[in-house]
Amino acid sequence: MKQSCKHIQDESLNYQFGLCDDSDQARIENHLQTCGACRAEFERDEDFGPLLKTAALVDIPPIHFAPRAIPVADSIFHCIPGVAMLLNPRSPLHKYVQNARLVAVLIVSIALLLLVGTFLLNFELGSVRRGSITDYSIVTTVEEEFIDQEQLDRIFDELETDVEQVAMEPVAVVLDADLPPMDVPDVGPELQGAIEQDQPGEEEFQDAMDAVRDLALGERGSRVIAVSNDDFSSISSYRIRLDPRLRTKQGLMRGASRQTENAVLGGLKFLARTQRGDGSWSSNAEAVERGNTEVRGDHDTAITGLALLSFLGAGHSEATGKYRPAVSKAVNYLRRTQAENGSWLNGGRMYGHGICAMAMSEAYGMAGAKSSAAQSAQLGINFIVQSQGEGGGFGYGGPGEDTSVTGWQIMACKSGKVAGLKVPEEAIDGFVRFLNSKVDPETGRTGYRSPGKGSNAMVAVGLVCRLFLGQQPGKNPVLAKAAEVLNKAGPNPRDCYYDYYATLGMFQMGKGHWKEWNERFSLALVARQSRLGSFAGSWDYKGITHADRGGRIYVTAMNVLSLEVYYRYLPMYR
Amino acid sequence: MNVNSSVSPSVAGHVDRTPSPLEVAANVITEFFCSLQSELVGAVFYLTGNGEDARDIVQEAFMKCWRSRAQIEQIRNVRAWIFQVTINTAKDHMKSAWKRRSRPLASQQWVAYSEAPDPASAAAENEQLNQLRLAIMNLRSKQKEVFLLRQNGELTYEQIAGILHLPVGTVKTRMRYALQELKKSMSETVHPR
Repeated sequence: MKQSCKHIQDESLNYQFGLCDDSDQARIENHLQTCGACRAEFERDEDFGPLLKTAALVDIPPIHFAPRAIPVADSIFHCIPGVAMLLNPRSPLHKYVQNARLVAVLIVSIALLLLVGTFLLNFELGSVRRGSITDYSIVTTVEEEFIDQEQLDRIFDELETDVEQVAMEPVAVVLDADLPPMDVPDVGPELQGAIEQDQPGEEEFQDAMDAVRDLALGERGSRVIAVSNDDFSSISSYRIRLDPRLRTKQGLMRGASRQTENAVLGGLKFLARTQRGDGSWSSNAEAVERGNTEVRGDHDTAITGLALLSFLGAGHSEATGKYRPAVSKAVNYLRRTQAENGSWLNGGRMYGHGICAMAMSEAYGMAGAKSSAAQSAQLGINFIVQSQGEGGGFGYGGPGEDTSVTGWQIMACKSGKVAGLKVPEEAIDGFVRFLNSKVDPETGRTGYRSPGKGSNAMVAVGLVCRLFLGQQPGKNPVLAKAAEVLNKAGPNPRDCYYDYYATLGMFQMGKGHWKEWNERFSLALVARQSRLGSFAGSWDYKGITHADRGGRIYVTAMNVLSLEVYYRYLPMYR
Repeated sequence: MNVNSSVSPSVAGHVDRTPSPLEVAANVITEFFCSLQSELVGAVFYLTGNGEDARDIVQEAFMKCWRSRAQIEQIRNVRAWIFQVTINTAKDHMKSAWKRRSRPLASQQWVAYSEAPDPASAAAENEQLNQLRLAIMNLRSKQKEVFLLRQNGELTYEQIAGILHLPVGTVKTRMRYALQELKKSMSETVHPR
């Protein structure tokens, strides 16, 4: 083969497929005319040209090419000379623009992720952050989730405007024959009969009850306040808890809001979720945090008592309310775990005993004849009375009596007494003696074991116990001083035990104390509530005093109790 | 090649006034794209392996050209330019990590995508055509690129060399390998065993 033939062979395929350049084409044709060998070679092959041409094409329905497909943003970009140059595919800068687009997409994605992440974290860590007023917006967005009582919403709608017109004066009525007449102003005729008797009969009591109810609803608008050693106010409290309308109205008049009520509902929902099959709750902080509520803790009876109290405080009893089954189960659990001598010392010691006795007393007080807690509650009170120390107080079991443990026993006896259980006067006298022995009259501080020396929590316990034992703010300067201590200290987001007592105390101290405390306390607490996932409705326990022994359930129960303050007990002294 | 020599710009709907130079350019570009649709979509389809992508890429290429219509006066060969823009758009598309995963295709996808070229053609020819299409699809991308620019774009080897920044010799070599592959695939079909 000639050199030229070799050269032609290289181009032969191009020629064969009709893909030669014009110049090559002519050259090859010239060669073929002269070279028979090459011609023979070429003619042997088929002409694939047309087939290849068809194969390389793709037939699809016609595309409508029109410039109006330009995205608006692009067309705007192209109006800017510099940008147009960058976007021009022939510009050397174009490839950087391609990268820049990628980078821009990345940046936007990351920004979005961060935004969403922060948003979610805000929800979840809301419980860790100190609550600020701005957090309420979050509350309203998830409000729907927490509302499980359409009724509640309706009541709010109905009452909110109504309540604004009602004077913020409370309407608790408590009777005491010893009161000078001027302390009982404007009492309606229904109450008069009750007032005149030391022990009102059933009929008078019912009349007085109706009067309280009317007044609580603001239908009379008059201000009726009397003070007493006990029963009436708390009994009417139980009644008010049980009636959603009455309860909500009471709450609204004293500073509750949709936010606080939703927080209570959310908290109860969480507690209902974490209740075990046997009716108890776990005090094992770490297990609960892992989502396992079955693991036993050392203080399960005490925690169960607290959780039960928080259900009772919002009107759920063995006979009423959405969480009636949960309450019944909890009551049964406490009945089963009570020792023969009436105690709940198991694990929780005297602390737990006071809490459980208080819970059973209130369970009985609320459901009355329908309650199965009566006998158990009385046995629990009896055990308190038997165990009272020489100084009138209680300790952990060993020698020494302290305000903290004693506080729960006093509250239990108080709740028992108003529920109609027998509490000897000597025991009450002992409580007063004990409190007087621990107080520093100068500062108004109640100490832990020695007079005046203890934490602010002890001051709050002392204040609440005195108030519930019938000491009037106007008559005992210690109360005002203690309230001033609490006012100065303010709510403590790290101590739900202190907050619970202080809030209860300030609420009962009323005017000049309550409004400010409520503003500082309640909505900040609401803002710390968890709102997502399995912990929704609870409060974080990390960093909270004592909470390592009760965990999330302890903190949640205490905080729910604090937020029920508006209607849990009526104000006794105004 | 001159703009007016191959495609005459249509001036639709503007009887009572002379179209502006930009309008003329836009019409030229639109005409080119309409008449070259099969070639352009075919080239991009074989490069990317995805029919739907090919359609979009050609549309995108059209938009790029349309935006640059002001510079059309400086372009010596509009047809070559359009192929260049289209091929580059397709390459950008394939480079983009975002879309790379849409590239792998079932080897028979084109059968579903491209309609049978001629219903009357014999089954044997159809099979031959299918074989050829599969062979084009399976070409190495560098050879495929040259082949498509030449076959569908009808660019001269010099133009292809200019676009790809390669010596003319390399372009021709790639073309030769591509054609050898295609011929091999056809001879397997036409002269079986």
